[in-house]
Amino acid sequence: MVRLPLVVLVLGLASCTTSGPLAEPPAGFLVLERDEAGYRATTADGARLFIRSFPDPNDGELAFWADALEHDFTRNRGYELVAREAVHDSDGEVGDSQHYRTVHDGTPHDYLVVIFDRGSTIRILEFTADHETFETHVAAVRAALPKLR
Amino acid sequence: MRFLALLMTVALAGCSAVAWNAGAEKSIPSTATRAYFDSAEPSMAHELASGFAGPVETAVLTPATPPAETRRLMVYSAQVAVSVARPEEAFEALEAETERLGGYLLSRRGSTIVVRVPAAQFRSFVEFVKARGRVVDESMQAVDVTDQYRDLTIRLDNAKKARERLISLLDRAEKVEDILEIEKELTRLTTEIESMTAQRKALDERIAFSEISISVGGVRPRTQQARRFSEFGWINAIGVEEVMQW
Repeated sequence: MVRLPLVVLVLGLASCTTSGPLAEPPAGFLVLERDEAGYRATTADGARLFIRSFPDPNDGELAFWADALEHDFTRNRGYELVAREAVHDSDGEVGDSQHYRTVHDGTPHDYLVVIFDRGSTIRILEFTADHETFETHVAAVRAALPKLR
Repeated sequence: MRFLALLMTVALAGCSAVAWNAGAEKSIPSTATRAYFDSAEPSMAHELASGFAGPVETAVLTPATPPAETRRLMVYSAQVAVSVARPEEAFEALEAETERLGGYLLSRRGSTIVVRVPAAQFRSFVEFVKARGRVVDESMQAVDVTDQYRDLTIRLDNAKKARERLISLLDRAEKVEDILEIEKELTRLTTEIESMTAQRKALDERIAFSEISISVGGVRPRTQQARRFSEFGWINAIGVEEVMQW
Protein backbone atom coordinates (compact mmCIF):
# COMPACT_ATOMS: atom_id res chain seq x y z
CA MET A 1 0.00 0.00 0.00
CA VAL A 2 2.89 2.34 0.77
CA ARG A 3 4.76 1.57 -2.47
CA LEU A 4 2.16 2.96 -4.85
CA PRO A 5 2.09 6.52 -3.38
CA LEU A 6 5.87 6.44 -3.35
CA VAL A 7 6.00 5.63 -7.03
CA VAL A 8 3.53 8.39 -7.76
CA LEU A 9 5.58 10.83 -5.72
CA VAL A 10 8.82 9.90 -7.51
CA LEU A 11 7.17 10.24 -10.91
CA GLY A 12 5.69 13.55 -9.87
CA LEU A 13 9.03 14.91 -8.75
CA ALA A 14 10.66 13.66 -11.93
CA SER A 15 8.09 15.47 -14.04
CA CYS A 16 8.66 18.65 -12.04
CA THR A 17 12.42 18.65 -12.58
CA THR A 18 12.06 18.24 -16.34
CA SER A 19 9.16 20.62 -16.84
CA GLY A 20 9.51 24.09 -18.37
CA PRO A 21 10.54 25.14 -21.86
CA LEU A 22 14.19 24.21 -21.51
CA ALA A 23 15.25 22.42 -18.38
CA GLU A 24 18.77 23.74 -18.61
CA PRO A 25 19.83 26.89 -20.43
CA PRO A 26 22.44 26.54 -23.18
CA ALA A 27 26.07 26.44 -22.06
CA GLY A 28 27.33 29.86 -21.00
CA PHE A 29 23.88 31.28 -20.19
CA LEU A 30 22.61 32.33 -16.79
CA VAL A 31 18.86 32.36 -16.18
CA LEU A 32 17.77 35.74 -14.81
CA GLU A 33 14.07 35.13 -14.50
CA ARG A 34 11.93 32.09 -15.03
CA ASP A 35 8.20 31.37 -15.16
CA GLU A 36 6.11 28.50 -16.45
CA ALA A 37 6.12 29.90 -19.98
CA GLY A 38 9.86 30.37 -20.30
CA TYR A 39 12.79 32.38 -19.07
CA ARG A 40 15.19 35.20 -19.70
CA ALA A 41 18.86 34.33 -19.77
CA THR A 42 22.07 36.11 -20.64
CA THR A 43 25.74 35.42 -21.16
CA ALA A 44 28.65 37.20 -19.51
CA ASP A 45 29.32 39.05 -22.78
CA GLY A 46 25.77 40.27 -23.21
CA ALA A 47 23.97 37.83 -25.52
CA ARG A 48 20.31 37.49 -24.65
CA LEU A 49 17.99 34.51 -24.79
CA PHE A 50 14.26 34.88 -24.25
CA ILE A 51 11.79 32.03 -24.30
CA ARG A 52 8.12 32.85 -23.87
CA SER A 53 4.61 32.02 -25.03
CA PHE A 54 1.77 34.05 -26.47
CA PRO A 55 -1.90 33.09 -26.67
CA ASP A 56 -3.18 32.20 -30.12
CA PRO A 57 -6.93 32.74 -30.04
CA ASN A 58 -7.06 32.52 -33.83
CA ASP A 59 -5.46 29.07 -33.78
CA GLY A 60 -3.23 29.87 -36.76
CA GLU A 61 -0.98 27.32 -38.42
CA LEU A 62 2.79 27.40 -37.95
CA ALA A 63 3.37 28.32 -41.60
CA PHE A 64 1.02 31.28 -41.31
CA TRP A 65 2.65 32.70 -38.21
CA ALA A 66 6.16 32.09 -39.55
CA ASP A 67 5.30 33.92 -42.78
CA ALA A 68 3.66 36.76 -40.84
CA LEU A 69 6.81 37.05 -38.76
CA GLU A 70 9.09 37.18 -41.80
CA HIS A 71 6.82 39.69 -43.49
CA ASP A 72 6.87 42.03 -40.50
CA PHE A 73 10.60 41.77 -39.90
CA THR A 74 11.66 42.23 -43.51
CA ARG A 75 8.99 44.67 -44.71
CA ASN A 76 8.09 46.68 -41.63
CA ARG A 77 11.37 46.68 -39.74
CA GLY A 78 14.00 46.37 -42.44
CA TYR A 79 15.60 43.22 -41.05
CA GLU A 80 17.69 41.18 -43.45
CA LEU A 81 16.70 37.50 -43.55
CA VAL A 82 19.86 35.39 -43.51
CA ALA A 83 18.36 31.90 -43.26
CA ARG A 84 15.12 30.17 -42.54
CA GLU A 85 14.78 26.48 -41.75
CA ALA A 86 12.70 23.87 -39.99
CA VAL A 87 13.78 22.67 -36.55
CA HIS A 88 12.38 20.14 -34.06
CA ASP A 89 11.80 20.33 -30.33
CA SER A 90 12.12 17.49 -27.82
CA ASP A 91 8.70 16.12 -28.80
CA GLY A 92 9.59 16.08 -32.48
CA GLU A 93 7.29 19.03 -33.14
CA VAL A 94 8.33 21.12 -36.10
CA GLY A 95 9.31 24.72 -35.52
CA ASP A 96 10.36 27.49 -37.89
CA SER A 97 13.80 29.02 -37.29
CA GLN A 98 14.60 32.41 -38.81
CA HIS A 99 17.97 34.14 -38.67
CA TYR A 100 18.03 37.90 -39.27
CA ARG A 101 20.51 40.75 -39.30
CA THR A 102 19.69 44.28 -38.36
CA VAL A 103 21.20 47.35 -36.77
CA HIS A 104 20.45 48.15 -33.14
CA ASP A 105 21.78 51.32 -31.54
CA GLY A 106 24.13 51.74 -34.48
CA THR A 107 25.63 48.28 -34.08
CA PRO A 108 24.99 45.33 -36.43
CA HIS A 109 23.07 42.66 -34.54
CA ASP A 110 22.09 39.11 -35.38
CA TYR A 111 18.76 37.75 -34.25
CA LEU A 112 17.58 34.16 -34.17
CA VAL A 113 13.89 33.55 -33.62
CA VAL A 114 12.25 30.13 -33.47
CA ILE A 115 8.50 29.73 -33.50
CA PHE A 116 6.51 26.67 -32.43
CA ASP A 117 2.77 26.31 -32.83
CA ARG A 118 1.33 24.71 -29.70
CA GLY A 119 -2.32 24.88 -30.64
CA SER A 120 -3.76 27.62 -28.48
CA THR A 121 -0.32 29.11 -27.75
CA ILE A 122 2.68 30.23 -29.75
CA ARG A 123 6.06 29.39 -28.25
CA ILE A 124 8.85 31.78 -29.19
CA LEU A 125 12.59 31.50 -28.63
CA GLU A 126 14.64 34.61 -29.29
CA PHE A 127 18.39 34.90 -29.22
CA THR A 128 20.20 38.12 -30.09
CA ALA A 129 23.56 39.84 -29.69
CA ASP A 130 26.01 41.87 -31.71
CA HIS A 131 27.45 39.89 -34.58
CA GLU A 132 30.62 38.70 -32.89
CA THR A 133 28.90 37.69 -29.65
CA PHE A 134 26.12 36.02 -31.58
CA GLU A 135 28.62 33.87 -33.46
CA THR A 136 30.21 32.85 -30.16
CA HIS A 137 27.01 31.45 -28.67
CA VAL A 138 24.70 30.53 -31.54
CA ALA A 139 25.99 26.95 -31.72
CA ALA A 140 25.08 26.36 -28.07
CA VAL A 141 21.60 27.79 -28.65
CA ARG A 142 21.04 25.66 -31.72
CA ALA A 143 22.26 22.59 -29.85
CA ALA A 144 19.71 23.26 -27.12
CA LEU A 145 16.74 23.52 -29.49
CA PRO A 146 16.00 19.77 -29.59
CA LYS A 147 15.70 19.88 -25.78
CA LEU A 148 13.03 22.57 -25.90
CA ARG A 149 9.75 21.46 -24.41
CA MET B 1 41.85 63.63 -114.86
CA ARG B 2 42.56 59.94 -114.94
CA PHE B 3 43.77 60.04 -111.33
CA LEU B 4 40.76 61.95 -110.23
CA ALA B 5 38.52 59.40 -111.89
CA LEU B 6 40.45 56.59 -110.18
CA LEU B 7 40.28 58.42 -106.87
CA MET B 8 36.54 58.72 -107.22
CA THR B 9 36.30 55.02 -107.97
CA VAL B 10 38.37 54.10 -104.91
CA ALA B 11 36.40 56.43 -102.71
CA LEU B 12 33.11 55.10 -104.02
CA ALA B 13 34.33 51.55 -103.46
CA GLY B 14 35.08 52.42 -99.86
CA CYS B 15 31.69 54.07 -99.42
CA SER B 16 29.82 51.28 -101.12
CA ALA B 17 31.04 48.83 -98.52
CA VAL B 18 28.26 49.81 -96.18
CA ALA B 19 25.56 49.66 -98.81
CA TRP B 20 26.87 46.36 -100.07
CA ASN B 21 27.01 45.03 -96.58
CA ALA B 22 23.50 46.23 -95.86
CA GLY B 23 22.33 44.36 -98.93
CA ALA B 24 24.18 41.28 -97.79
CA GLU B 25 22.47 41.40 -94.42
CA LYS B 26 19.08 41.37 -96.05
CA SER B 27 19.78 38.43 -98.30
CA ILE B 28 21.56 36.25 -95.76
CA PRO B 29 19.93 34.73 -92.72
CA SER B 30 21.43 36.25 -89.59
CA THR B 31 22.45 32.88 -88.19
CA ALA B 32 24.27 31.68 -91.30
CA THR B 33 27.43 33.61 -90.54
CA ARG B 34 29.78 30.81 -91.58
CA ALA B 35 28.19 30.47 -95.03
CA TYR B 36 28.34 34.21 -95.32
CA PHE B 37 32.03 34.30 -94.53
CA ASP B 38 32.77 31.50 -96.97
CA SER B 39 31.17 33.42 -99.78
CA ALA B 40 33.15 36.58 -99.02
CA GLU B 41 36.66 37.32 -100.17
CA PRO B 42 39.11 34.74 -98.75
CA SER B 43 41.15 37.29 -96.79
CA MET B 44 38.07 39.04 -95.46
CA ALA B 45 36.43 35.77 -94.56
CA HIS B 46 39.51 34.70 -92.65
CA GLU B 47 39.72 37.92 -90.67
CA LEU B 48 36.03 37.96 -89.91
CA ALA B 49 36.00 34.33 -88.87
CA SER B 50 38.98 34.80 -86.59
CA GLY B 51 37.48 38.00 -85.28
CA PHE B 52 34.30 36.17 -84.37
CA ALA B 53 36.02 33.17 -82.83
CA GLY B 54 37.68 35.11 -80.00
CA PRO B 55 34.81 36.98 -78.39
CA VAL B 56 32.28 34.25 -79.09
CA GLU B 57 34.13 31.70 -76.99
CA THR B 58 33.90 33.95 -73.97
CA ALA B 59 30.43 35.25 -74.65
CA VAL B 60 28.64 31.91 -74.84
CA LEU B 61 27.19 31.16 -71.42
CA THR B 62 25.87 27.69 -72.08
CA PRO B 63 28.29 24.85 -71.30
CA ALA B 64 28.03 23.28 -74.74
CA THR B 65 29.52 25.40 -77.52
CA PRO B 66 27.00 25.67 -80.33
CA PRO B 67 28.01 25.25 -83.99
CA ALA B 68 29.67 28.26 -85.58
CA GLU B 69 26.54 28.95 -87.65
CA THR B 70 24.46 29.55 -84.52
CA ARG B 71 26.96 31.51 -82.47
CA ARG B 72 25.84 34.95 -81.51
CA LEU B 73 27.83 37.80 -80.07
CA MET B 74 26.07 38.92 -76.93
CA VAL B 75 26.66 41.79 -74.53
CA TYR B 76 25.35 41.05 -71.06
CA SER B 77 24.76 43.57 -68.29
CA ALA B 78 22.85 43.72 -65.03
CA GLN B 79 21.83 46.10 -62.27
CA VAL B 80 21.23 44.75 -58.79
CA ALA B 81 20.26 46.61 -55.63
CA VAL B 82 20.68 44.74 -52.36
CA SER B 83 20.03 45.64 -48.78
CA VAL B 84 22.62 44.33 -46.35
CA ALA B 85 23.41 44.74 -42.67
CA ARG B 86 27.08 45.58 -43.27
CA PRO B 87 27.63 47.48 -46.52
CA GLU B 88 31.41 47.75 -46.14
CA GLU B 89 31.76 44.01 -45.76
CA ALA B 90 29.56 43.56 -48.80
CA PHE B 91 31.75 45.89 -50.86
CA GLU B 92 34.86 44.03 -49.82
CA ALA B 93 33.29 40.69 -50.71
CA LEU B 94 32.15 41.99 -54.11
CA GLU B 95 35.56 43.37 -54.99
CA ALA B 96 37.29 40.17 -53.87
CA GLU B 97 34.95 37.99 -55.91
CA THR B 98 35.37 40.23 -58.96
CA GLU B 99 39.12 39.91 -58.72
CA ARG B 100 38.93 36.16 -58.16
CA LEU B 101 36.89 35.73 -61.35
CA GLY B 102 39.37 37.70 -63.40
CA GLY B 103 37.24 40.83 -63.58
CA TYR B 104 37.95 44.36 -62.50
CA LEU B 105 36.42 47.31 -60.68
CA LEU B 106 35.17 49.97 -63.07
CA SER B 107 33.96 52.53 -60.57
CA ARG B 108 32.70 53.06 -57.06
CA ARG B 109 30.62 56.05 -56.25
CA GLY B 110 28.75 56.35 -52.97
CA SER B 111 26.82 53.17 -52.41
CA THR B 112 27.11 51.99 -56.02
CA ILE B 113 29.88 49.84 -57.39
CA VAL B 114 30.29 48.95 -61.08
CA VAL B 115 32.38 45.94 -62.02
CA ARG B 116 33.17 43.95 -65.13
CA VAL B 117 33.53 40.19 -64.98
CA PRO B 118 34.29 37.68 -67.75
CA ALA B 119 31.07 37.00 -69.65
CA ALA B 120 31.24 33.30 -68.83
CA GLN B 121 31.04 34.23 -65.11
CA PHE B 122 28.13 36.66 -65.54
CA ARG B 123 25.32 34.54 -64.12
CA SER B 124 27.30 33.09 -61.24
CA PHE B 125 28.48 36.56 -60.25
CA VAL B 126 24.95 37.95 -60.27
CA GLU B 127 23.88 35.07 -58.03
CA PHE B 128 26.81 35.88 -55.74
CA VAL B 129 25.65 39.49 -55.52
CA LYS B 130 22.07 38.49 -54.77
CA ALA B 131 23.23 36.18 -52.00
CA ARG B 132 24.86 39.12 -50.17
CA GLY B 133 21.56 40.41 -48.83
CA ARG B 134 17.94 41.11 -49.59
CA VAL B 135 17.40 41.92 -53.24
CA VAL B 136 15.57 45.22 -53.56
CA ASP B 137 15.73 45.56 -57.34
CA GLU B 138 17.17 43.55 -60.19
CA SER B 139 17.35 43.83 -63.97
CA MET B 140 19.35 42.13 -66.70
CA GLN B 141 19.92 42.85 -70.36
CA ALA B 142 21.32 40.74 -73.20
CA VAL B 143 22.03 42.61 -76.44
CA ASP B 144 22.82 40.74 -79.64
CA VAL B 145 25.65 42.66 -81.37
CA THR B 146 26.45 40.03 -84.01
CA ASP B 147 25.25 42.15 -86.94
CA GLN B 148 26.80 45.31 -85.55
CA TYR B 149 30.13 43.53 -85.12
CA ARG B 150 30.02 42.03 -88.60
CA ASP B 151 29.10 45.34 -90.20
CA LEU B 152 31.86 47.16 -88.37
CA THR B 153 34.42 44.53 -89.32
CA ILE B 154 33.50 44.65 -92.99
CA ARG B 155 33.56 48.46 -93.06
CA LEU B 156 36.94 48.46 -91.38
CA ASP B 157 38.34 45.90 -93.79
CA ASN B 158 37.07 47.80 -96.82
CA ALA B 159 38.44 51.07 -95.52
CA LYS B 160 41.86 49.46 -95.09
CA LYS B 161 41.77 48.10 -98.62
CA ALA B 162 40.73 51.47 -99.98
CA ARG B 163 43.59 53.12 -98.16
CA GLU B 164 46.05 50.61 -99.63
CA ARG B 165 44.77 51.40 -103.10
CA LEU B 166 45.07 55.12 -102.45
CA ILE B 167 48.67 54.69 -101.31
CA SER B 168 49.34 52.81 -104.53
CA LEU B 169 47.75 55.64 -106.51
CA LEU B 170 49.80 58.18 -104.62
CA ASP B 171 53.00 56.48 -105.75
CA ARG B 172 51.95 56.93 -109.36
CA ALA B 173 50.51 60.44 -109.07
CA GLU B 174 52.46 63.21 -110.77
CA LYS B 175 50.27 66.30 -110.65
CA VAL B 176 50.28 68.31 -107.45
CA GLU B 177 46.50 68.61 -107.44
CA ASP B 178 46.15 64.82 -107.71
CA ILE B 179 48.60 64.30 -104.88
CA LEU B 180 46.76 66.79 -102.66
CA GLU B 181 43.42 65.22 -103.41
CA ILE B 182 44.70 61.70 -102.66
CA GLU B 183 46.35 62.83 -99.45
CA LYS B 184 43.15 64.49 -98.34
CA GLU B 185 41.24 61.29 -98.94
CA LEU B 186 43.97 59.29 -97.19
CA THR B 187 43.67 61.50 -94.11
CA ARG B 188 39.92 61.03 -94.04
CA LEU B 189 40.21 57.27 -94.41
CA THR B 190 42.91 57.00 -91.75
CA THR B 191 40.74 58.87 -89.27
CA GLU B 192 37.83 56.63 -90.15
CA ILE B 193 39.93 53.49 -89.70
CA GLU B 194 41.19 54.63 -86.33
CA SER B 195 37.66 55.39 -85.20
CA MET B 196 36.33 52.03 -86.36
CA THR B 197 39.27 50.18 -84.80
CA ALA B 198 38.53 51.83 -81.46
CA GLN B 199 34.85 50.99 -81.81
CA ARG B 200 35.61 47.34 -82.50
CA LYS B 201 38.03 47.17 -79.57
CA ALA B 202 35.36 48.61 -77.28
CA LEU B 203 32.84 46.11 -78.64
CA ASP B 204 35.29 43.26 -78.03
CA GLU B 205 35.62 44.44 -74.43
CA ARG B 206 31.86 44.63 -73.93
CA ILE B 207 31.42 41.13 -75.35
CA ALA B 208 34.21 39.58 -73.31
CA PHE B 209 33.29 41.31 -70.05
CA SER B 210 29.80 41.78 -68.64
CA GLU B 211 29.11 44.95 -66.72
CA ILE B 212 27.26 44.71 -63.43
CA SER B 213 26.16 47.70 -61.41
CA ILE B 214 25.49 46.96 -57.76
CA SER B 215 23.80 49.32 -55.34
CA VAL B 216 24.35 48.35 -51.73
CA GLY B 217 22.03 49.80 -49.14
CA GLY B 218 22.41 49.32 -45.42
CA VAL B 219 19.55 47.95 -43.39
CA ARG B 220 18.16 50.91 -41.57
CA PRO B 221 17.55 50.71 -37.85
CA ARG B 222 14.02 51.13 -36.69
CA THR B 223 14.66 54.61 -35.37
CA GLN B 224 15.49 55.83 -38.87
CA GLN B 225 12.44 54.56 -40.64
CA ALA B 226 8.78 54.93 -40.11
CA ARG B 227 7.98 51.50 -38.79
CA ARG B 228 4.65 50.03 -39.59
CA PHE B 229 3.30 47.70 -36.97
CA SER B 230 1.96 44.22 -37.48
CA GLU B 231 -1.71 43.63 -36.88
CA PHE B 232 -0.70 40.72 -34.64
CA GLY B 233 0.15 41.98 -31.21
CA TRP B 234 2.55 39.21 -30.25
CA ILE B 235 4.71 39.95 -33.31
CA ASN B 236 5.03 43.57 -32.23
CA ALA B 237 6.13 42.34 -28.79
CA ILE B 238 9.17 40.44 -30.07
CA GLY B 239 12.31 41.39 -31.96
CA VAL B 240 15.79 42.70 -31.26
CA GLU B 241 14.47 46.02 -29.97
CA GLU B 242 12.19 44.31 -27.45
CA VAL B 243 14.72 41.76 -26.25
CA MET B 244 17.41 44.40 -25.78
CA GLN B 245 15.01 46.43 -23.64
CA TRP B 246 13.72 43.67 -21.39
